[in-house]
Amino acid sequence: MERTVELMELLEARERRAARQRELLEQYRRPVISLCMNIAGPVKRSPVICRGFREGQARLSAALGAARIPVLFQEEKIADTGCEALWVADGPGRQVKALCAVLEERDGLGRLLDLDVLDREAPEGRWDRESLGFPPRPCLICGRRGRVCASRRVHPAEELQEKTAEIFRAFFARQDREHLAALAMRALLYEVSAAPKPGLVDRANNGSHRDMDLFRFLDSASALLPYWLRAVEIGQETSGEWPEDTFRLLREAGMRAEEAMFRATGGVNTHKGAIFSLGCVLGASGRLWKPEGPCRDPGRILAECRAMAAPAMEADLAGLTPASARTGGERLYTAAGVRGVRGEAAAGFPSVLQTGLPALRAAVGRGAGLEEAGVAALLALMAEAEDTNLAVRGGLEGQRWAREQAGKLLRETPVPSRQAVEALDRAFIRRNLSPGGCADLLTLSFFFYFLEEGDRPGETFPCAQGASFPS
Amino acid sequence: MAEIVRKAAAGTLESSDVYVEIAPGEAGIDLELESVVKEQFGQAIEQVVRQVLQEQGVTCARIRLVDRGALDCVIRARVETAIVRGGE
Repeated sequence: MERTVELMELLEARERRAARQRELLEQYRRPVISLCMNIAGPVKRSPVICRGFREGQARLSAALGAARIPVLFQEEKIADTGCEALWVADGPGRQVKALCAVLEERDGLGRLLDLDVLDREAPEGRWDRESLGFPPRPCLICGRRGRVCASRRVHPAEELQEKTAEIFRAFFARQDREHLAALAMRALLYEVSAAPKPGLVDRANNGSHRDMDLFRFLDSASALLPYWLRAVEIGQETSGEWPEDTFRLLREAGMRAEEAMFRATGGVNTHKGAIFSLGCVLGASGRLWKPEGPCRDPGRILAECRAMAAPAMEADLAGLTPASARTGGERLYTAAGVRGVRGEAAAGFPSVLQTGLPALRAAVGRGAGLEEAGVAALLALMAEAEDTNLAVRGGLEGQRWAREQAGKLLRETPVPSRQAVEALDRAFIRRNLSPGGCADLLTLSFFFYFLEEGDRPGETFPCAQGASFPS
Repeated sequence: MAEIVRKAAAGTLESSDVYVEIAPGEAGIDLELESVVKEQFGQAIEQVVRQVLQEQGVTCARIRLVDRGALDCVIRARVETAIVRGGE
């Protein structure tokens, strides 16, 4: 895909572009915007250059939309000689050029956009920045008038290419960080809202919990936003280092995130498990990130999680003794060998890949909405995965019972009815059981589902019947 | 020896490019240069243009350039194309 182009090819492409611009000017008699990427060196087309081009088009579209300038015609060409778009704008050329000049100056990525505005009413047929009061474009490297540096090759092409790659990298690293953190947040909110969930807090009731409700979860999820961003960033920053080094940094940042959670909830543990497992997945996504875009392959991300977490998790478990075990999960491991979330992480969350995510997809495939599908996926996880939250509250007997109930319901029908799950919810509440570990695995399943799906919005849900949120 | 027999053009007005117009001349080379970097590099650009004309054996022509900060290699290529298009 990446090919070195010869000078003559480039020059011919420019002449063809100029000819096409003249045709469009003649045909529409309106300003023609020509968007190209400002890329030094002999390679003018690559996935990341095309991505930058898409971003440029999105910005142009937004700017014209905000100025209420209609676009009468649009065409684009992605060729080895570069990406180019020609748009006909139904507005005053001077205003269109001014808006383009602002786009060119917005940030580093703007510096890589070339936006020419051709107009029969402009002097010499095109508006130039300086005559509209904008400064000349600065050199990418030294900030002086760029044409002086460019025309005399003041800076070696390699230096320009490096700087260009750096601009793309920094811009898309941040854009994807925000995208991944937003997906994490979305997964977290879907998980807690989906109802009915046996024993868990959801938008219908508080399940078996007396110290938290939906709003504590919203408080906590909101407080964790900086951590989701930071977890991706840690992965991006340490992608060249050993996986276990990334994991160590995540754990440190995760402890600060726990403090933020406890502050937000007044000391209630709403998301400790999610901080751990979702943080791990986001860190792995950061490690696998490329300027072309985030890795959207759950299998690869979870394999990276395994590489990151396995050494520390095995060491954790090996070091536990009945005397040193502090949490419920730790005591369960020393007493009964239940490996819990540490075991899941050390194996790369196999329950997500083998159970949660396939169940979610299958339920959606059968026509279930995302909420209903999420409940079905939770039941599938409850039937398959080890859940120390269940075992801590109800003992191994409680865990076994919960597993049997979920399995039985799924055997009767792959997407159980709301009434059937509500009945199970009541039975869980009577026994004071809550599958919190499976809830975290459901969050991961939602995350991967959204990641694969891209940015499509979900459907709307009718409000749960008789919803109430006792405090 | 190349002769310019008709008006011809090459190049564009895009940044980093140069627009070259060539036409039959009366006596010698009549060169007109407009450039965004004329103060700094006007002479150097003229020299490149005259050198290409000489290499191609053009001794008599009117040539006009509008330079938008083109590299020397671009200036050379555009002038060469203009000569080919203006020749027989």
